[in-house]
Amino acid sequence: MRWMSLCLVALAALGVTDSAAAQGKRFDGVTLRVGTWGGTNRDAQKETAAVELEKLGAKVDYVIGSPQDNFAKIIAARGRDVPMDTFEILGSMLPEVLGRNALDELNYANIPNASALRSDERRKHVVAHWTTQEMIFYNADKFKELGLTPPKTLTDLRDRRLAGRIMIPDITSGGGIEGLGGFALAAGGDERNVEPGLKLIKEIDALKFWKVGADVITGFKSGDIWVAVAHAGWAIRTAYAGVPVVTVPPQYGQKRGLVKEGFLGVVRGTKVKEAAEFYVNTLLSEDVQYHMSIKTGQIAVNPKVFPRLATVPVVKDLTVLDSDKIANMVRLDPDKINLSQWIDQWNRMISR
Amino acid sequence: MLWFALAYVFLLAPIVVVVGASFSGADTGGVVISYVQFPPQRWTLEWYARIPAVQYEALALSLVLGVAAALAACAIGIPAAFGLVRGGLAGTPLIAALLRAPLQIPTVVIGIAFMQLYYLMADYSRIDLVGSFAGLLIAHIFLVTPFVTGSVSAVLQRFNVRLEEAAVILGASRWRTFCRVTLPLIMPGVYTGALYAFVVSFIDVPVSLFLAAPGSVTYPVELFHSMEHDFNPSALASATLVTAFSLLLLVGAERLIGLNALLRSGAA
Repeated sequence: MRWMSLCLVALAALGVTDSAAAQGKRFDGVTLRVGTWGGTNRDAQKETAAVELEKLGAKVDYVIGSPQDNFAKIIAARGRDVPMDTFEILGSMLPEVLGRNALDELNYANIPNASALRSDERRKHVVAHWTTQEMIFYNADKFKELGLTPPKTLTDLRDRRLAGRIMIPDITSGGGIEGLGGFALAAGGDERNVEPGLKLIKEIDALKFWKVGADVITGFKSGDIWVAVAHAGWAIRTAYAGVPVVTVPPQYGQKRGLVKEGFLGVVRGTKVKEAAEFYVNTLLSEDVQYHMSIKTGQIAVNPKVFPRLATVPVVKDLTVLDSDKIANMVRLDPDKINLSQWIDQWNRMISR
Repeated sequence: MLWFALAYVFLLAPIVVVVGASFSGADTGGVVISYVQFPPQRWTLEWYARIPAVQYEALALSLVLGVAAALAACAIGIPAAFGLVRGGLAGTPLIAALLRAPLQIPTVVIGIAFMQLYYLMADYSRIDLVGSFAGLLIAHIFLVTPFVTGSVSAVLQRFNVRLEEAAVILGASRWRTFCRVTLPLIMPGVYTGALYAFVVSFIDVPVSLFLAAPGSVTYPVELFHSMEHDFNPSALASATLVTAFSLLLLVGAERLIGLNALLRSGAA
């Protein structure tokens, strides 16, 4: 009897091993090409999501480039082998990407982690996988020392005592669209009418502009800058650099704060759709979402991660980790944004 | 003289900042911070230890690509220069303008145009250069060959043909004359062109951006993307290593080949 039990256990163990081996071969010989930014973003994905896929036999290659560059490569390859299988898409690019029919429909049965997301983040062709929270952040010590009132809206930045001490995103920077869109909304305009926002920017004395987020940290660290408009990830890095910053989600009418959303889509014509969806699903898992948030300063879209993120003091203090509040933040409507017109107006009114 | 010195110091200042900031440490509790701190508060080599392996891989690719592109550009550019200067072809100015054309086309356009060309080739033949090293190399050769053609043409235009005639009169064959007289005298132009070709290939971003294979990018593209989305001082550390390597290479070239002596002989 004892022998029989042992045999059964051994057989069961063999069965488990067999099934693990079968599972391990699920993506044998598959190469998945992921279009994403270089630097920290690629490295964080490589350390997390890629590892999970590689465990199942796949190889993950990164096609590094901005979402716009990668989309240009997909368009250039139209009708032929696709140059990547899944890629990062900014919310502002969605009308163009969907209009060109560049993406396959997502099979959410293969992306179970997406069930934790809000319905507007789970779309037919794209799924959100990060957001950034566009904030006003300021040097709390400097404000206290000079008796300045912390800003609540972007219109508060007109305070003449802040002249020459404010930095906002240049239109060509990564935060340019959300920056100008935010100023337009704060000044009574909207995506179709950004002129009030441009006038507001003009009214702020000796404004400085950042092209890359690192400019903000350098400005704060050197003492040249006391207030910046940038996403909360830069506030976190500024705090780590030793500057006592406080973030404020700006007020836009009834809403507080503005988010920029990053999506993933599976490229139409890919031969490895299942692996691409597995990768997307892994990026939405709690562990990977946490890791990506910590490494990149982007905020997770999977709300199950928020309690864990709240255990990191700087992240808790400088970001909004409340699903309802995030849901109530402003999202610019990409269908209403005419970017070339925005840039043209910016060049005429601001760059001159 | 003082103004020249000051202007030179001003031009070199960014390199000083890059090198200085690469040794700058900050007390951030182990968190990688993303900004340039100059002058350093605390001197450290930690950013050198943190240079990611992918940057070394990208650097190796760029070096191989740059050397291959420069050699190929010499193989194409030197005969082209002879053809332009000595060929007596009808429409030489037009041909010269065509050979210079890659310098006048925005490099982004070159990248996209080659990518489209490779896709077309893949459609109509079995040759698939999309995302291959060969495809990237061909585009770089296109980009850098005008530098070799231009510099060798400039030397050939000043060339004293009587030296070749003297060699022929003394019984040397055309091939021997070319190898023993012509080639040594045009070498300053070849070296200059090859050096430019290597540098232009090594620092190129736009062409490589569109043609590099997934998973393998060139060094400047890797740096460009790491700074575009984030800014890690390890990029400054690797840039400092490349600068130091370039200086060593130039000093070595001067010692071994005697670039200055060659340039003087070319000017004479």
